[in-house]
Amino acid sequence: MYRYDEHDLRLVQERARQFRDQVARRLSGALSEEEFRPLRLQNGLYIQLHAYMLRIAIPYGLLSSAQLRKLAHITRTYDRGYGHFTTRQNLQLNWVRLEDVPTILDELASVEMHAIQTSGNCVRNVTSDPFAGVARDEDVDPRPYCELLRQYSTFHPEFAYLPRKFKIAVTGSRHDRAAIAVHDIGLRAVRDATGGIGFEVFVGGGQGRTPVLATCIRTFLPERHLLSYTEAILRVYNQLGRRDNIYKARIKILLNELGAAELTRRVEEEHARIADDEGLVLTDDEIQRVARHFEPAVYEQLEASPTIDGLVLGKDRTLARWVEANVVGHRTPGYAIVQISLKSERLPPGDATHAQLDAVADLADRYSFGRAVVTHRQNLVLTDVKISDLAALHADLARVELASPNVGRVTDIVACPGLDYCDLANARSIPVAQDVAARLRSLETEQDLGPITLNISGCINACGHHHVGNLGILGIDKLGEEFYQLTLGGDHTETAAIGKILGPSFAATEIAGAVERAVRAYLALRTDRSETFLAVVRRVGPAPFKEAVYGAHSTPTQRTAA
Amino acid sequence: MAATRLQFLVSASRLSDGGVVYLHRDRRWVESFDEGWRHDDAASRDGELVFAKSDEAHVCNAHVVEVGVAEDGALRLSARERFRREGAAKVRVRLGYERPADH
Ligand code: SF4
Repeated sequence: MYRYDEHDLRLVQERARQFRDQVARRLSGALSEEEFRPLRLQNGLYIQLHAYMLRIAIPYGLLSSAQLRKLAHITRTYDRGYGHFTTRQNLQLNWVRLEDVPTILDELASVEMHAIQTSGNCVRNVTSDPFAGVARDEDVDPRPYCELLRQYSTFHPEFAYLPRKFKIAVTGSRHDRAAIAVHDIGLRAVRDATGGIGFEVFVGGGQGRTPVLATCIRTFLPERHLLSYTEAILRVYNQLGRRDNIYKARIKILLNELGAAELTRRVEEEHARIADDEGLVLTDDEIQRVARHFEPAVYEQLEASPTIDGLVLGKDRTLARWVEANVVGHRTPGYAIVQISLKSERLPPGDATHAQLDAVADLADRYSFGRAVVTHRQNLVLTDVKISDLAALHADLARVELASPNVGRVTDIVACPGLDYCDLANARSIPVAQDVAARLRSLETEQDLGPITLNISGCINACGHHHVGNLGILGIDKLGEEFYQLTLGGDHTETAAIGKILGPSFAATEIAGAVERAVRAYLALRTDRSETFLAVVRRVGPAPFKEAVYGAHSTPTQRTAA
Repeated sequence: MAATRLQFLVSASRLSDGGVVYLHRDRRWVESFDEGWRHDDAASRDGELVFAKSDEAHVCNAHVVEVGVAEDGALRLSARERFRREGAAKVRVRLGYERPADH
């Protein structure tokens, strides 16, 4: 993985030192809150409902075991013993004290981490495919490009005050595990007929109150122009994006107002001016310098047996279920990609305790070259596990409540912090996730539901990505009461779609039942077990689901709460 | 529950840890909603809000909380203020893995 050079290190150390001084000045009264607020936000420090929240950047989700241990130590020492992984592959601490934050930043800097640009109207943490570098369907490893974008966008003076926050995702695989269609810029690294690397460039995707799928504005951008083209897009957005209305400030609105053709024309025009600027052209040397940090692990030549399929068919049914749901084929024979579910019966989605973070660090060292990756579905991945180690790893994970066999299943629920923590929330997400999971856990086991994504957001900001869940739940406020809207048919992959609202919203006590009725409708409608939830929705449309969800169960609450 | 009258509290986030606090009648910041000064009229509320906003050594995000009071004394708050009133989110404590606050 990428190791900081002297320049990177100095950058994060200096930033921590500056923030120590800024906090001291705030506490002494030398800085007002108005003056201090932008400074703390530039270091990822928010004030939430009950406490400060610090958002720590995890570039493209990649963590070393040393970093995991440091995060465990920080949650144990300065917080209340756990952290929350987010849909941007970051980690949030919910209970930090202001005076401790500079020390936390020092601790993070000691393992090449920081909280820079995890807030504010700037380019946020670049996200990517959690299977990058090992996926069987990968054409190009996206991580060097993510790292180049990270370096390019960190403290970029021109883009520190964009009209609004700006999110970039990069994949290099045919199957999109990075949700590039719902990013301000989504990049898919591809190869042309000669093997040359370039990017399909998508612009103007996003969620929030106006969900939009990104539009492709370039089908093949040669890799050397990655930074100059990104700069051209950012410049056009910076100049023309609306600053008069926060709800219309994202690039998706600009794209809609200008039209894709005009936005593309302006980007191309700007790009033509800067394409050959020395500082922006990516030379082969520079790409290779960064790519060397991501060279494949030194894999052993392994026997053809055991196989993943063999374990799925094996006698140990607990292990078999876990392997079937959580383990994915690796490009290297004898190895597997292991997804660690952070959706157990006890913990809210995306949470990991300090003991679990330490445990994952140990397991990463023992089984997977000391690395783990955070996914945008709030799980962790060990990318390089020998198939012969899977049974032992499973047993080790079970000891720390990390062996839930549900990745990609309906109880693998993505949920934002919601009204338990978030200052902007309308409704709780965590208890809803727990109610739904409790209700569906046995159904999932008994009926082999197959892949279903369920996402919950506590407000229209959509941090829980509810728009792209096969089933989405959005918390809304009705005269001070929590209600929940159900959407159907969303998809974050290469067949991306925005879910459609199914009908009137439900009270908090009713939403889990509504989800269960939708899932039971799927069971009744599927032709066989190979037909997924999403495939059924696309085949039959919303009507049968609507009937199942509202039909006989419609109540006065539902009708009045539309 | 029909709210028959409106009252107002001044609330804020504590500077040191972001904790929820309410302004007491004697201009102390207290954690208990019940100890906060409930104003009946806008003039006294606004006066205290001016003080709260200026007390930057102790708090930030000073704001007014509207409280609907029914005839039987029951209180109605926005969902956000209900959660702030209930105190630190309990969900993880209930689940048994959040260390209690030691600060
Ligand atoms: S979706 Fe809303 S409630 Fe959830 S974390 Fe984002 S802003 Fe907060």
